[in-house]
Amino acid sequence: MSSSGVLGMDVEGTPVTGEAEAAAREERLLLARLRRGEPEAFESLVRAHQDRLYDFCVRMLGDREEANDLVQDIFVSAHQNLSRFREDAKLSTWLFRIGKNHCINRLKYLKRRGRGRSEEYGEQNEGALAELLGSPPGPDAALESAREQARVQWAISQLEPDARMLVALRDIEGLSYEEIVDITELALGTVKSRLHRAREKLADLLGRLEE
Amino acid sequence: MPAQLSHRETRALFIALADEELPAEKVQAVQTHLDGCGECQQGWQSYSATVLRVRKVEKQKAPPALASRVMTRVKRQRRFGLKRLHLTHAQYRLPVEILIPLLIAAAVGAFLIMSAP
Repeated sequence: MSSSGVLGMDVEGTPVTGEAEAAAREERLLLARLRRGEPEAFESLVRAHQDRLYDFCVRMLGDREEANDLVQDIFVSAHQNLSRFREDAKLSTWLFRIGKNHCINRLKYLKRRGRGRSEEYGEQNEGALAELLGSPPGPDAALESAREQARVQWAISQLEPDARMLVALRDIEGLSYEEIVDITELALGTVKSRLHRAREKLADLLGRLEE
Repeated sequence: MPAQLSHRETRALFIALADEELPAEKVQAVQTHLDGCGECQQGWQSYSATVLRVRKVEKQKAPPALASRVMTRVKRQRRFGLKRLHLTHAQYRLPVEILIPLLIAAAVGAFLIMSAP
């Protein structure tokens, strides 16, 4: 008996081995073109990964403008360091690892600076959240969706950066624990225990928000 | 009959349960505990609902101009990349054992040509 039947969780489809092999073959071809310095190959790498990296950076920084700048920096950095890519991980994992380092550094920089764009966004975000929650409940699905987005993003932004990163990688980007271990360079047990605590804190924050 | 799980053991298994990584007998043990414990049942409801809410959150799409901005920056870097000349050997993987004799041979050749009567 699966947990989904007993406890009401959604079941996610697992990739078929054939598809995984085809994806790996495609990635090897792309990597060969990247190594030859083909600009079109680098552009297709950017187009293939920009949405996930951007979403990850938005979750980490809570600021779309900062995320836009940072994703550009991540790709420029990836371009500069392409020769260092050792092929022991997927390109996406390698990009997320660069992204994680950039996000952590940017968060430190914004904290040192005292009041960054991120903080301004945080205030706006809380204002928007209060406005959204204050509006009367209606049948408008778009409004309800925006409200839900704001609640979840607010709760994520209350977590410590390390916890935020694990929630973003696992629950939003849907990466495997193996990939997360590669990206974060943490032990599997540490990843799981921190993610568990982060989820508990999120549940608490969201519960309090709705009281 | 398997031993009953404590509250602590049950809660520690929430992460594996939410990730659907628990074997069936463990799922059954957790379910048995939850059926008899209102507090843990409430904890699980809140935990699993939160995980689902976060997983369902709408993804942010990158701004349409992002890729072209990246490509512009990369091209500019290539054009004005002289500062990174010392790293060229790393990018093109020409071993230094080959590069140095080649440079010495070129210098000796140039000297001989220039000093010829």
